[in-house]
Amino acid sequence: MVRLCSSDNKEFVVDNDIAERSILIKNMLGDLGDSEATIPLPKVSGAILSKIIEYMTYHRNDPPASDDDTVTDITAWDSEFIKLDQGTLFEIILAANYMDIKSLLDLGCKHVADMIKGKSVEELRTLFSIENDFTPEEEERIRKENSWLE
Amino acid sequence: MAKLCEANNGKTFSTAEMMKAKKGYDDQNREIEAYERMREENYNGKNSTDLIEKIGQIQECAPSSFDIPKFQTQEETLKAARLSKATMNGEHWKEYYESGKKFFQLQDYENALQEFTKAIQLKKNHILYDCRAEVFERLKDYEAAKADALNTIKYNSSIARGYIRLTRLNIKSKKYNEAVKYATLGLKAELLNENDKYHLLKLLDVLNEKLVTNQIKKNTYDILQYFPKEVIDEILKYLPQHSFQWLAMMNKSWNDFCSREGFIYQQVIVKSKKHDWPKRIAKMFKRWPTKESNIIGIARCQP
Repeated sequence: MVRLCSSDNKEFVVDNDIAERSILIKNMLGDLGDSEATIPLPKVSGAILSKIIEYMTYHRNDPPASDDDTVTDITAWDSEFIKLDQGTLFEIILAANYMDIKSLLDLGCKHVADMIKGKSVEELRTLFSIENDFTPEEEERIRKENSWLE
Repeated sequence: MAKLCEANNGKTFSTAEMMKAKKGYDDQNREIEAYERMREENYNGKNSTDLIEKIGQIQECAPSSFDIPKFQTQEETLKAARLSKATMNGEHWKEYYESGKKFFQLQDYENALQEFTKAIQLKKNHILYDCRAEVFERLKDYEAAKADALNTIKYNSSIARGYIRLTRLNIKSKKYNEAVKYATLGLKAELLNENDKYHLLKLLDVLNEKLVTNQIKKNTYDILQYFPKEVIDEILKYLPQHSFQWLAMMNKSWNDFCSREGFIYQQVIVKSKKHDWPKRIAKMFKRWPTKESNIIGIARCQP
């Protein structure tokens, strides 16, 4: 069993094979050589960590991630799991990047890409609260420059 | 003055109440600091859209006093002198002030404005500017009201009314950063009536609530500001080429990013399957529209 400690000092006790879905934890356990250790995760909050443990538990029996970029289909469970508000989704992506859980990072990034696809500029600005700082002339110029695909 | 009573609610606050309010304010400050630190540590300050974090920053850098000229310009002084000479005893402004107040009580704001303006031409002080600011506010000319409120502070920085008005007006026009700035300035100033700080604290409470709801409502983040580069790349990997056309048009930083990373192309060259050269050109560029084989675009692309 491994003890994981979040940034807000919440502790989670999980099986080794679950925790080792995270390459970061796997490497740390390897370095420590002590499977009973407490692993601090100062960049991950308790709420996010519990979501991530949910993900790792579900995927505990997956074959280990391969290095090549094979694109796997998103399962129904995964697509249900990743239906989150933007704040949580983004935090999960950051945490997956930090904890080195490639399949989860891919899942999150693919989801964000899907959010972007097929949206107009205005919709995208609202979606990511981006302020338009172009002058009307600049905007027109860029519109012309980039209008090779209508 | 009616407004003074309203601002003070006709109440005085005990020292204990003041201390309590002050403590609440300090606690809040500490909370903001702790929160900021946490954000800082977690994301290396990546999450810069955080409004609450911004409050902290503003409080840090708010100047402790205004840099305002103590004296009027020579021209102003001369003019005032000439005008007061023209009047009998230099106290002529009081007549305009009194009539202005009468018009104000009758809610005839246009006339009150005229009277106060005449008075200000003769005499400049915080009372007159505050009166006129109030009139401007009633007339819904908020910019003019703000300017006069600034003058109120300029002529007497130990009266809270200017700070309170500026904070309130800025909240009204949703300029929360400005509002925080003036509230903080007021709290830092040495006020004649220290109890007035209680109002500023209350306004800060209102402000905080607005900022928090704003934050919750927002809960949206700019990918470019939020994620480290490797994650952004990971996301963009899943996007079709034509999406970059929209992304580049969002704002300047996105446009810079897209051109720097070579995501956008400038012109359409061919729509022909016969030529084999588009393929060769395609090899030159790292990212290329893959599936849309008969739509080929090239041009501006960073090496």
